[in-house]
Amino acid sequence: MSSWTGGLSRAYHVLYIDVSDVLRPPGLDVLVVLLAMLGAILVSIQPVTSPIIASRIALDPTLIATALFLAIRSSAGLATLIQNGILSVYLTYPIHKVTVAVILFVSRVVIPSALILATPLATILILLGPTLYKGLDVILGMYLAFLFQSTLYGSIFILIAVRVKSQATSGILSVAAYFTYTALNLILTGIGGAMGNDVVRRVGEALYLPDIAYYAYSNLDHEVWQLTLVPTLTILVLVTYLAYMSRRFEVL
Amino acid sequence: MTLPSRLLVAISIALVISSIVADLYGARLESSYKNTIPVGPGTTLFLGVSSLTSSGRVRVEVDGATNMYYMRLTGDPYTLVQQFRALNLNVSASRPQFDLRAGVVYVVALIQASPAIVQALSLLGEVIPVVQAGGSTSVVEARLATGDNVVVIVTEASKPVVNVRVSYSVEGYSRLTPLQTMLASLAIVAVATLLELARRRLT
Repeated sequence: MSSWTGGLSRAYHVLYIDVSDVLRPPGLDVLVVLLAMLGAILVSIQPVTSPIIASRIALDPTLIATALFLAIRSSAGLATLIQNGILSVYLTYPIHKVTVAVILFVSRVVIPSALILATPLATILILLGPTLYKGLDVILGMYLAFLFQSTLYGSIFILIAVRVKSQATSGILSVAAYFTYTALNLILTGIGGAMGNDVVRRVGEALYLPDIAYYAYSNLDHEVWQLTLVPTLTILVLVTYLAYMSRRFEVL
Repeated sequence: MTLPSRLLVAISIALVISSIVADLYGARLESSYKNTIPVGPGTTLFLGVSSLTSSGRVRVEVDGATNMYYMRLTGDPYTLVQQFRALNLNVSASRPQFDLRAGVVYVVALIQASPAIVQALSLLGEVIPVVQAGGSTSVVEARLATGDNVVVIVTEASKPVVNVRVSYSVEGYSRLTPLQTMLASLAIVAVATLLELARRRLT
């Protein structure tokens, strides 16, 4: 029992140190002020009465900024930890390598995504409270859709970081991967629509979970499997990352 | 400062600034549209009112219409006009006018297909004839949820030009006043300060 709690305590210690590194000021602070302000301005310059639309207006630009934060601060930052030998120090802790990999995923992808995406929502909920409180469940659903999308981006970026182990290369490749993914979403949707191929169009649409969540809440045309594509891709990338970390990863 | 305190301060700063911007350039709860449109023989006037982000009540008044219909649709009325083109209907003019601050868009189009357009639209939903209430003014009133449209079609006019007046009032929208926002921001900063004091006392 004591060894289990000791392991948990050590894991928490590593998590705390790594979260403090990723979310250190002033980068996060400036980003969340700007994003919260942008989201609140966008929903208050027009009389948004729908919680679905309010959450989309606030979170669409936030997701782009979150993806760039994950690419530059989280993923490239992890490559820096590898280059500087700090990750070797993490790995000297009596914790399993996979546990360290999970901690890095939580501290560098899940927690930053959850916090950055939550800040504009909290701001608009205060500002437009009486209008939006009636749809808190919808707002939470849209938040989870954006969080899953962000987690998919982050898991791809972190896999790139541990593979290339170079700060600059990791940053560049992550940003390139983000824009490639976004372009793929648009291209498949466009080609599917132009050719009348419903499967291709739906796959293209399903690459962006917030759109499908929006369709689902608005009773627009969608298929249930479209809601599962992004979570499935996230799990696949995450399993690949954990497998790579446990079997093939070597510190420099 | 701890992470929760930093985030709370960020939210309070964002609230104050966005509240000032909203007060200066923020949403309007009323919107109107007026136009005088020539409707020749064989020409149909198509007027769509769509609530993009808001919900509210719309009132459309048309002077000089002999035959007028309306219908309710979901989706984008401008896309509908594009679809008329795809059906080989001759859309001679179309123009969307956005009122972003009221969250509504007005679309006016002139289509060279008087009887055919009513038949085409009846495939999409119930096309309801409008009975003139008195004089020569026909009135349509409807409540629009977000994303709803009301489409008014004038297939025949008693005059060479018809006058269209649309008024739209937003319903179900409210936001904090700048004073309330300022108080909320101060309360958030106070919570952040208390968190910091508690942390320093504990460590």
